[in-house]
Amino acid sequence: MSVAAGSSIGKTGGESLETWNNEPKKGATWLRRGRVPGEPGLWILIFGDMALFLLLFGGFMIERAKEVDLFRRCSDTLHLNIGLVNTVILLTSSIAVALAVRAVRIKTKTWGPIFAWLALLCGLAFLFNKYLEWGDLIRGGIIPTTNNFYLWYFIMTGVHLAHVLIGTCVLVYILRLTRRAHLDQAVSIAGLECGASYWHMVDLLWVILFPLLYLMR
Amino acid sequence: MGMTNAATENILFSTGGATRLSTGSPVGLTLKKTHIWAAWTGWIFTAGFLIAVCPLFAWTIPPYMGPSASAMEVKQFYLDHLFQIRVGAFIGMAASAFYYPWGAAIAAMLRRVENGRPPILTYTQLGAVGVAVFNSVLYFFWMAYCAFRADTMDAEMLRSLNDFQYILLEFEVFPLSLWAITIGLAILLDKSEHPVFPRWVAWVNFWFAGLVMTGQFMIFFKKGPMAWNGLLAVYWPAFVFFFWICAMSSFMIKALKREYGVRQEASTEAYA
Repeated sequence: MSVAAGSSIGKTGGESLETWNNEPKKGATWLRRGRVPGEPGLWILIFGDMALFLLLFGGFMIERAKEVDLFRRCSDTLHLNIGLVNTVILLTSSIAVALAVRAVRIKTKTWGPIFAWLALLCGLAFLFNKYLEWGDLIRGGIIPTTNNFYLWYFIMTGVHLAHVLIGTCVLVYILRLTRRAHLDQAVSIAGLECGASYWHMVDLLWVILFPLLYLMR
Repeated sequence: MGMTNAATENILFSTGGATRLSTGSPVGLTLKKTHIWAAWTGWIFTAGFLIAVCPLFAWTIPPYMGPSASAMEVKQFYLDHLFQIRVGAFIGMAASAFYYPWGAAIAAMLRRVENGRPPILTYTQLGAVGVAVFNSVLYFFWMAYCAFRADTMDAEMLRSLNDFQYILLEFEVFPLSLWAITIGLAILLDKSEHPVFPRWVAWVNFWFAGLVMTGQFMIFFKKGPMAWNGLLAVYWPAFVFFFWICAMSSFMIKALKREYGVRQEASTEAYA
């Protein structure tokens, strides 16, 4: 499959950029339209990650069934407003990331970095909010070992937080790629899609986490 | 030098035939077969380890008790299961011997990715093999130690020693994660015509590297899913870990059967 100059057909991340407009090196996996976004292998990581969260959600539901009253009461003490803001922030950042990837793909390169910055700022805002939220709880004497609900709350939001931290690094990577595209340098579309898919996963996990912890009665 | 090596390769690495060069070796033994045995060590390690720790023997996966057990409960467990724990430690130590050939084989297979350049990723992997095997070996050492004189040992001390056993089992995560990331990077950087491993196997390594991390937090909890008998400290990391070993083992066996790991493609002037 030939690659026309300026074609935005993606390739798996990792190839040297100088082959972007030339014949592909043998062994490189060329991806076509209607293909798996990013790399096929990435989805092993993503679904494997979601498997862990399935365990967490399942474990939470089982523990909750044992002490429903306690869980309801403690859920009321959580910062619902911060949780809502965080949800909006993550959804916004997901849209931003999707638009950034699209901008690079359809060659409106100026918008790529702008959306990438927006996504990154949203990610950082989430981290800051988490600092506020946890800080408030801990200052109020609530720590993971306080009771069963808070144990699961801190563990679940903690594991998610770790994913957001990694995701922030991924957003920086996306930003670098969009800036490179903006400067008309060759960029791996698959790399962008990998990063974007990961961030979408982080967002999806929060969208499930939030109702479980904050809203369920 | 190059010609000699080509001739050597034809003899030594030909599919299935007995080597003519090493006149002392048994009929039918080839380097390729030996290498494939090395790849099977992953499965053997997995089987041996899981047998050693199962309720028939050491009873640590699934754990018989938890961090909130009293000292007397711990001592009673040891008194009731002394012999089987010792057998478990014995089997586990035997299993640990099969851990490093597996790790070495992966490093050897992926060495050619770094041909012509300093084999940093390869050496990192070999270093990681040392750390990982040390962990496995010390774990079974400790299991044996706890069970050696448990009947006369003070109960509190025994409980403390028993805690360390679980720390050994679960607390070394980052070194293994970095090992897997190194392997994953080497796989992704493989741009040859016939890559050693399929590209997506790198992502299995990254998956393992990230997802096994929940075990690292066991030090902070004595109850719940992250305590040393908890879901996220024992069961999930064990699943991820042994899945990783068996997956890599399988792909190594496949790759060795294809023989691409030892093609002449690899430079003979490569670093040792």
